[in-house]
Amino acid sequence: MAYIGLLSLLIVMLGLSVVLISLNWLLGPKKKEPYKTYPYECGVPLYDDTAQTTFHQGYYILGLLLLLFDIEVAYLFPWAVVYNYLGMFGFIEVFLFLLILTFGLVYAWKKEALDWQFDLESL
Amino acid sequence: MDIRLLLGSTNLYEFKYLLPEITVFVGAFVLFLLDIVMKNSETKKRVFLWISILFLALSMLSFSFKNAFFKDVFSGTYTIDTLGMFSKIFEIVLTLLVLPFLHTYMNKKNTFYYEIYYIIFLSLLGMMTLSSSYNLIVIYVSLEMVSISFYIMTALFRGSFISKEGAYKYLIIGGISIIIALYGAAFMYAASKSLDIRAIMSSYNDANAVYLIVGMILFLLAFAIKIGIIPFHFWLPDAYTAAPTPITGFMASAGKLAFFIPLLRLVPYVNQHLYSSWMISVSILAAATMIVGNALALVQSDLKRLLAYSSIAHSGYILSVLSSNSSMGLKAAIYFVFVYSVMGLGAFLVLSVLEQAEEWDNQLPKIGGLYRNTGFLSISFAVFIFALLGIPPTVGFVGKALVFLGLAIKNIYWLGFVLILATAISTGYYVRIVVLMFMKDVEVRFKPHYDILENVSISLLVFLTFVLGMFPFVLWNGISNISEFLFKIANLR
Amino acid sequence: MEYITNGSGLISISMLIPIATTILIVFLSEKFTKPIAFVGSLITFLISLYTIKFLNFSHLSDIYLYENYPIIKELGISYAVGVDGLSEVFYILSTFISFLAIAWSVKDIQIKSRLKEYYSMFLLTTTFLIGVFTAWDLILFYIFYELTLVPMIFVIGVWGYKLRLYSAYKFFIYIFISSLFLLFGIMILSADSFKQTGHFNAFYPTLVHLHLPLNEQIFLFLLFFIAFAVKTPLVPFHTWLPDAHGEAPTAGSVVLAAILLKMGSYAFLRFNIGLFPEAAKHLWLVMVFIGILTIIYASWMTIAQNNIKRFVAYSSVSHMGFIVAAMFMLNFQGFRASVLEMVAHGFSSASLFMIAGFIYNRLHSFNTKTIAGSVRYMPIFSILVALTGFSAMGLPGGSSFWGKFLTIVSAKEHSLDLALIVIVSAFFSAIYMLYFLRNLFLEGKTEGSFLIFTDIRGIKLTVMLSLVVLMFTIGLFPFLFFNIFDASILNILHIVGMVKR
Repeated sequence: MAYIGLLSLLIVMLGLSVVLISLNWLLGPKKKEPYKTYPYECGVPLYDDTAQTTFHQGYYILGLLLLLFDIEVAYLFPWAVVYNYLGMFGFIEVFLFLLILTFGLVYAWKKEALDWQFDLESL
Repeated sequence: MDIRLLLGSTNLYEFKYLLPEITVFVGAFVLFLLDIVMKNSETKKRVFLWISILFLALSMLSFSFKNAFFKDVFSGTYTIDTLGMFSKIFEIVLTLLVLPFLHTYMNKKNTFYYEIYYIIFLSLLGMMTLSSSYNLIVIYVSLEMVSISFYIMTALFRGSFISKEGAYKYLIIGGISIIIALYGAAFMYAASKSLDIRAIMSSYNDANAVYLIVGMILFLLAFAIKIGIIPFHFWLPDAYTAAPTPITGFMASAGKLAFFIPLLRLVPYVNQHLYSSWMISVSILAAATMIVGNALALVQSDLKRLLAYSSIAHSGYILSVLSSNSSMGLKAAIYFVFVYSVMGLGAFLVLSVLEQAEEWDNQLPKIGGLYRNTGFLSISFAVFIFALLGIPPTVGFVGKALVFLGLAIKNIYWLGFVLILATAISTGYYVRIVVLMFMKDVEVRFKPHYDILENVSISLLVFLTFVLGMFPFVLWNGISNISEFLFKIANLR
Repeated sequence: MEYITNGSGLISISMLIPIATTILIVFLSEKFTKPIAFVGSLITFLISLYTIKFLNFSHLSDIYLYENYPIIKELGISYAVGVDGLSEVFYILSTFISFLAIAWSVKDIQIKSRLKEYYSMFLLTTTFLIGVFTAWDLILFYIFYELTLVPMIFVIGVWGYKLRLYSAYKFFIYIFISSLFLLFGIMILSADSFKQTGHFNAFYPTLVHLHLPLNEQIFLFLLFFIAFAVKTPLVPFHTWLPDAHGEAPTAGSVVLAAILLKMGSYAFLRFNIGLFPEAAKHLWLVMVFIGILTIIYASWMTIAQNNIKRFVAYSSVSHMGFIVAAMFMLNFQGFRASVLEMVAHGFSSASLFMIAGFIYNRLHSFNTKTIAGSVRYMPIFSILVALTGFSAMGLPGGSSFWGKFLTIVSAKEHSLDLALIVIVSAFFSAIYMLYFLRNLFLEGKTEGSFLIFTDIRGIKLTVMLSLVVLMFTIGLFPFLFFNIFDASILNILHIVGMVKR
């Protein structure tokens, strides 16, 4: 009951958007002109079939590597907090952890996942 | 922390319970080494396939059925019980069924990625550990392992734009989901000072209620995103369309099975304080998922996307019966999760065989008159479609009937009517596929080539669809015991 | 009620024989299909006749040929089949009509392609129909009830006439969605029995003794009603029927009209009235009203048709209205009337659809203007048409007479006004049958502008002759049939509480 304001905000938000859009759809004029759905590119005709283009796969690999190494860093934070209590054991443990991940980094390096020099035409 | 103390408290003989996972891990490692050592050739492809099958068979054989009683090993981070064992066996079998299709799919595309074999093994390893733990960290790491393998496999075939777009969406939204899970896990730990779900849920009291509930919601949000609950399903159709079809089948069947297991483990621990809010929120989400999933499938013209939306709808069916926090509901949910993996995999695998013909893009009108081209594939596709629809005597019917029973036990009648509405909507597109296949004239003339292993896989899935549907007691006794046991354990704590 | 297991296993054998025949047909070459199918369905029919030997005619309310194998013991779902008097009638009727349909198709020139699939579909339908009428476990009943849809959608969609795809969709989707309500209702009933007795139970004789509060009964009655009302069909849920029956091949229409519709009304009697007697007593007038509405509305629609197959289809709806109206009078004569009318309508609609199919085979049209008066040139056929028409109309001596007469008698037990309404609605069925006969006999050009058609002969003649003979047997010797199902009806009446035993 304390959050009733939040719930009513949610309902009004959703309801307003639904009502406005559906009223638009119901009552608005519907004339199909051939160029209404044409993608906008500053008035210039499209270079390719669609306005969507593909992207360099390096972005994808970067995202994947980010996910992995970011989580690795996230694991390092709590270790850093309790490092005092862990002593030598903690040091060796984390050393082994980082070693395994370094092997992964070397693998990615060797498979040219980190090469970002490319010609503009191959984009 | 004394290292001698740590080493002394690890019982090395407990590793024998972990033998299936170790076999899978060793298999992945062996395949990885083979990939580096061998040169690319035809024999290498065959060798990879057969070595994978060998390791999976070894893994199945290394289950120790005698020790299948409820036991916490490795000081509570890993649990051996019947639910875990059932799901591990199912996951291994599903992987075994998918592998031949990968082989022919990659052959047909003329790009053979050997990495896919050991990445599947690693995802299988993740699924196996995901299915057997109550510990937040183990669940989290396994979830990551499965998800990252799926991201890699989705993007592996770098051909078309569709493939990249879907994989990218999957990566981004999956990454967000995993971070939210971590945040939720942090809250749950803060609320109860324990990393075990059982202890966390039992430590509910007024002081930590808020943190516990917020943590639980955030943690479950990750699973909701993974299994495709509305409104977190936006990545699913694109990712399923982008991935190569055998991998889509694998994700939709074994992946969904693995992602559901922690939810199923959590359900008995939702105690009476949380029950009413759990029921309301889960049932509303399930109702929305069922209706929206089926309605969106109705307007699809691409078969793979249609099957992806239907898998969203089936997640909704399973979730709806989880909202009734009863033992019968849990039995129905477990049964339906296992049988959906069989049906869903069958449908996707038939599609992957059809894709090998050059004239086939996955558009719906192309399926016209398929019966003239290939009797076996069209009949098995019809069997899987009827199973997904819920026609007796297939497993889909038993699943739906049990869902109805689970809802009736707790008097949640409105959700039953929503289920009827959702099935009614789904009838539209399923029947259309069957009618187009058998009763229209031939659209595309082609002869799908499939070798003996694929034939065996599809036949096995059809056989399972019928046998588990006509004789459900094969699975039922085990599932019933699992569910009763889980509830008993939950109430004892 | 006793469960007598003499000769148990016969019902399962008669369910397995069509499946074995199907497997034989699939694996042998196409020229053996027709003889094997014919022999297979004949054997099934003879087995069903053989089961009469095991019935004790003085205790027909017991369950004979009983088999019970648990499927899921914990949920109380078991494979429980058996016949009592009422089920026996429908068991024999379904095997007989399936045999007649296959016999008719053997010489039907419309069925030229994909013969193996065609006959397998009919044989599978036979199995599922036997399952429906002999099942004593509600879930088993539902399984077979749904399964009958699957071969029928293929029969309508592959070998039907012009609008076959549309009709196939409509048929399947409409009936499937409505029977989901039935599934939900069965599960709620099972859960209720769990809450009352601690055991899940879907076994009909045990569920009959469950006493539910009135609200629950009315709720479940309505859920079951939705499913059976679409199947029976009752107005306004009947719209699938003209399309499905109008576009199916002849044998398909015969099986659909003669038996599949009876599943709905049998289920009304057995499940709706048997399981929820209080609700039935509350809602009887509404149901009678819906029945009478069906009769009148369907009769009007019948008269307006210019396609003779749809004409016959709508007339089926009208007859089913009679069945439901008679049933919900909730007295002995009403039950008798409805069950006898079910059997009678089975025979008469089968023969009417065969008439329409035969005319299509000769003239390649269903249009009433095109076929007007064509029957005059086929003497033997015209005799059969006339006999069928008069018998379906309710002429005394014909099959539907006892149905209509006993309905009027049973309505009189409630009130005279109700009886008058029933009489007026019975009048309508005479009207459309007279339209039918007038169109076939008296209209059309009288000069010889028709080619001389070959008269009906051979297998088709035998089939139609046997149907006509049976129709007149019902009309002249109804007690042969009453003896079989009277005891079961009395049982159900006892449940309803209208008869003190």
